[in-house]
Amino acid sequence: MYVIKASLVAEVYRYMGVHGNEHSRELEALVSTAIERVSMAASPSACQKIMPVSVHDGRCVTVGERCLESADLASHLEGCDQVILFAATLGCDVDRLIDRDSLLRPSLAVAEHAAATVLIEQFSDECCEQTDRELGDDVSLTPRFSPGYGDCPLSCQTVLLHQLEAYKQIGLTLTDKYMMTPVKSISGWLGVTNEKRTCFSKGCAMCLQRHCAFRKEGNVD
Amino acid sequence: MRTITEHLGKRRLFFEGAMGTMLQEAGLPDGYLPDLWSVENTEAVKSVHRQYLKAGCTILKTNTFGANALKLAPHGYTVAEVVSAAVGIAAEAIAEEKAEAFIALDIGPTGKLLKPLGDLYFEDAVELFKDMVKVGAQAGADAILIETMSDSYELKAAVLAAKEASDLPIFCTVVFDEHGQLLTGADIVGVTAMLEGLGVSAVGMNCGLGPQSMLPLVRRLREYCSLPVIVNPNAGLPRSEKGKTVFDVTPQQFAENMRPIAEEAAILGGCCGTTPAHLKAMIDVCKAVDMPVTHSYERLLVSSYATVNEIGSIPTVIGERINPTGKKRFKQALLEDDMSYILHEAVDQEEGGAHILDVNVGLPEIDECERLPRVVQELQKVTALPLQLDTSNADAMERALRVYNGKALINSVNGKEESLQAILPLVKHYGGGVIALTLDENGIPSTAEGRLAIARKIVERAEAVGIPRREILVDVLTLPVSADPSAARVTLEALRLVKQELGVKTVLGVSNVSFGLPSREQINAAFLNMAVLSGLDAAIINPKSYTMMQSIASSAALLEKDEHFERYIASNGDSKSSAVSSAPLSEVSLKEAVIKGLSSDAAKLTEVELEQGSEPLHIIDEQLVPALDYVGQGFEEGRVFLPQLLMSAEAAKAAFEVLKSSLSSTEATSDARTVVIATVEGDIHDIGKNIVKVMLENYQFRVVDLGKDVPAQTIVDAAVREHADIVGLSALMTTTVPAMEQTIRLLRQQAPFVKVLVGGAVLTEDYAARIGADAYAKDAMAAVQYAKSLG
Repeated sequence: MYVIKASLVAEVYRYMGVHGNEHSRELEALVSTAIERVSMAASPSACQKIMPVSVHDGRCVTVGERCLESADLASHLEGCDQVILFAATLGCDVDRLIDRDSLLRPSLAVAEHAAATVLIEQFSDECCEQTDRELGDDVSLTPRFSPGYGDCPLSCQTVLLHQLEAYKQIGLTLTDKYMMTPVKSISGWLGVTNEKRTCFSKGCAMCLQRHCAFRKEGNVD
Repeated sequence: MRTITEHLGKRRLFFEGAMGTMLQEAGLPDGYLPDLWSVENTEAVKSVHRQYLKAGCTILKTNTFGANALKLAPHGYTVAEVVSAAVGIAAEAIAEEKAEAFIALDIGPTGKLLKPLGDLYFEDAVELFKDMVKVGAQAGADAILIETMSDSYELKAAVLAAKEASDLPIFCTVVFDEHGQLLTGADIVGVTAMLEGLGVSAVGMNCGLGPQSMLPLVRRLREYCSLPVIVNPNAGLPRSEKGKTVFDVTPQQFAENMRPIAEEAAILGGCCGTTPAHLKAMIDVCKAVDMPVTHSYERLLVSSYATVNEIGSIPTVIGERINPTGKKRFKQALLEDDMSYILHEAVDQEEGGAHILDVNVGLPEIDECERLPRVVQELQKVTALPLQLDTSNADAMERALRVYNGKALINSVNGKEESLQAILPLVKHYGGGVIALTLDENGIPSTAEGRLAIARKIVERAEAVGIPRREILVDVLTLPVSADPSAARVTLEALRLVKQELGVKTVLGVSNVSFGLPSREQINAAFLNMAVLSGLDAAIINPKSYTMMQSIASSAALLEKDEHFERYIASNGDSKSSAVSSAPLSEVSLKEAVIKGLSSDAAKLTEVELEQGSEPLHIIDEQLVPALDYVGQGFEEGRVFLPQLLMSAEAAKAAFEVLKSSLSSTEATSDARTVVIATVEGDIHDIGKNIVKVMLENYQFRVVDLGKDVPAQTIVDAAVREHADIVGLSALMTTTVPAMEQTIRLLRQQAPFVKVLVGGAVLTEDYAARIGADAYAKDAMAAVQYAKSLG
C-alpha cells in the first residue's frame, strides 16, 4: 500500500482549505480516515519516455515530430535537447471512491480529494526524482511543466499522452475537453539539461494563478 | 473449407502476432496510426499478413485495431474506407499464399473511458463498434476479435455491438495485470462470467504480459470457463531503450513458454513485440501438444464491474430493501426522486453483509423504463455488489440489463407464456442468471409436484433457446402459514424436489412466510434455517436484520458451508460493534452534535427528542437551524472550514432524515423551493457542485442534482419540468466555461423564469456577469445566502 508521508499530511489540510495547525478531534479523524481510504484504493502507476526536443522562435517547441505552441513551455525548455514525457495516475478506484463518498458523505469526499491530490503529487515527485538520479550527475532535470501552465493550452495533453501511449501504458485517457481520466493523474514535460541550473521556480511559484485559494503562503510572487 | 466455428475447440488455431511492431519495422513513423496504412500503404500491411501465414498462422487479425470513427476522424478517413480495405488486404494475402486461414475483424478499445469514469456514453461506444462490425462483416470477415480491452463496460459495449450488427462468432481477449485484474477492476472470474453470459465463442487474454506471467492466469481462467481459451501474449515485458520500446523474449524462449499454455488454450498467438519468427517457433512447438478439453461447469456466477458472486457456494444473501412494497419512506423517496435515500439503503445492506442487491423501483406513478436503468447506474457508483434487477416490465428490464456493468441476476421469469416469451430472449441476449418463479396462468400450484412441473417447463424452454441450466435459479415461492398452515412444508418439499430432479440453483424470499403473525423475525429465521437445510442456495432477506444474518451464518456453519467458521465469527463480531454503537449518548445536545458534525449522535438525539414529545418543526426551528446558522456564520468569518461545515451539514441531514418520517408530506415539502444543479457539459469535476447541494438541502431547498458533464438541453428540460426557481451551474476549467455560457443562453430562451447562479474555480463576479448569470457564488454558503435572498 502506497501512503502519504507524515511530512506531507499538512498539505492535505491546506488543499481542504483548512488554515492553522490546531484541528478538532472530529476533523483529524476525518482526515486520517480519508488518507487511509485513498491509500487502500490507489494503485499508482507511471510511464515516461525520453525524446529529442528543440525550441524555435521562443514559442515553438518540437518534441519528436510534433510541434507545440507555447512561449512559457519554450522558455521552460530553453537550452534542453532532450525532454522527458511523464504521466502518472492513482487509477480509477480512487475516482470511484471519491464519487461514491460525494454521494454518501461529502465531507469525507472533500478530504479524500485533498489526500488523493497530495498522494499523486508525492508519487510523481518520487518518480521524477528517481529518473533524475538515474540520469547521473552530468545532467539535471527541470521541474515538471504540465499542459495548462502559463500559455500552454490544455489541448497539448493530446500530443503528450499520445506520444507516451499513456492509455496503453497506465490506462490514462482524455475527455473531449482535455481533462484526464482517471482524474487523479499528473502529466508533464521535464527538460533534460547539461547546465547546472538551480533557480527553477517550482510548484506554486511557477503558476500564473496569483489569487488561487490554495496558493502556498509565502509564495505570493 | 469449414467455417471457423466448426474448427473451434476441435482443431488448434493460431492467431498472427503483432501488426504495429511489424509496421514500425517497415517504416511506420512513431506515433502514426497504423490503421491508416490499410489505405496508404497496403503492400506493407499485406506483406506482414503473408509473413504470418508463411509462419503457419491460421487466423489473420485485420489491421483495424484503432479504426473506429473517433480515432479516424482527425485523419479524414471513414470507418468504411479503412475497415473494408483492411479486410480486403487480409483476403488477398490468404489468396496469394494459397493458405487455409480465416480473417478476424480486429477491434481494439476506443481509447476513452466510459461514463461514469470518463465522458463516453455507453450507447455511443456501442455505435462506434457497430460501425466497424457492419463494414467488416460485409467485407467478408469470418469472425470478430475484440481485443486488448481493459474495461469490462467497454468490453460489454463491443460484444453487444458485434451481436447486434452481425451473426459472426465473437472472440474476446482482455488485458489482465499480473494479479488477473482489468484496469477498471474486474477479475478473471467476473470477466469470464460476463462474456459467457453474453454468448461469445471464445475467451482469453492478450498484451500486457509475456507468456510466463500469463500461465497462472490462464489456469485460473480455465477453472471457470467452459469455452475455448485464447492466449496472445507479448514477447515479454516491454522496456524502454533510447526512447524505443523493446521486448526481450526470443522466438525460442517464446515457443518454450507457450508450450504449457498450449495444454490449456486451444487458440494461440502473439501480441506486441512478437514477430513471424516468434509465431513460427511457437507453432512448431505447440502444434504437437494435445488439444485441451473444454469442461462444462455448473456454477452460476453473477458479477459487477469489480466483484463476482458464485451463487450457493455459501448461502448467498440477496438484500431485499430496495423495494417500495410495504415501505412508506421508500415510496416517498421514489416519488420525490430522492436518489440519496436509495443509495444509502444500498450501502447499509452492503455493510450488513449482503452479497447481491435486489433493485425494484416499481410504483404506478413511476416510469420504470426511465427510472430502473438510472437507479442501476447510480447504484453502480456506490456499490460494487452485483445487482438483481427486479421488474415485471420487460422493456424496463431490457434497458436496465443493457446499461448494467457486469452480469446481473434477472428477477424474474415465470411459467406464463407471455413471461417466457418476453424474458428468455433478454437472458439470451444480455446474459445473466435468471430467477424462475413456479407460477403460471393458473396461479401458484398448491403442491410441491405442481411447482416442480412449472420449474421443469421453464428449464426446458430456457435450454431450448440456448440458455444453460446453470443460469437458472428456481424460486418455489413462499406463502404465509397464517393463511395455509401447510404452506411452509409445501415450499420446503418443492425446494428439495427441484434440487433433486432438476439440479438447478434455488432462491426464496423468506419474509412472506410470517405474514400476519407476531414476532415475524423468529418465524422467518426458523424457516430460513429449514430452507438452507433443504438445499436453498440464495435467500432474499433484510441484511440489516441481525437475527436473519445470524440465522443464515449459523446454518452455513452447521452445514459445512463456512470454512473455518469465518462467516459465523464475522457475524458475531458485528453484534459486538452494534452493542458499542448503542451505548448511552455522550452529554451533548442536538444542537451541539450538529455543530460538532456527529451524524449518528444527531440522529439518535433527534429520536430522543421525538420520544419526549417535541414537535418536528420545533426541533428544526430551535435546534437544527440555529446550529446550521452558527456553523455557516463561522465559515463566513473564517473560523470554521469547509470540511467542518460539511460535517455539520451531514449531521443535520441525519437529523432531518429522522424527522422526515414524522413530518407529514405536506409539512415537509409545502414551501420548498426547487434548485436544479449541474456541472456543465464537458466538465467532470463536480466536488463543488456536490457541496452546494448538501448545503442547500440543509436549508430545506429541494435540490434536483443532474450530475456532471450535463448537456445544456438536459439542464433546460429539467428546469422546465421541475418548475425550478434557481438553476445552479458549476464549471472548473476555462475550457468548459463556454458550455456554461451556452447553457445560460438556452435557459433564457426556454426557461426565462429561472434565476441562474454560477460558481467554479475559474469564475469571478465579473466573468459571471459577462456570461449572463444572475449571480455568482464564491462558495457554498454564498450559494445558500443567494437562494435564501430570493425569499
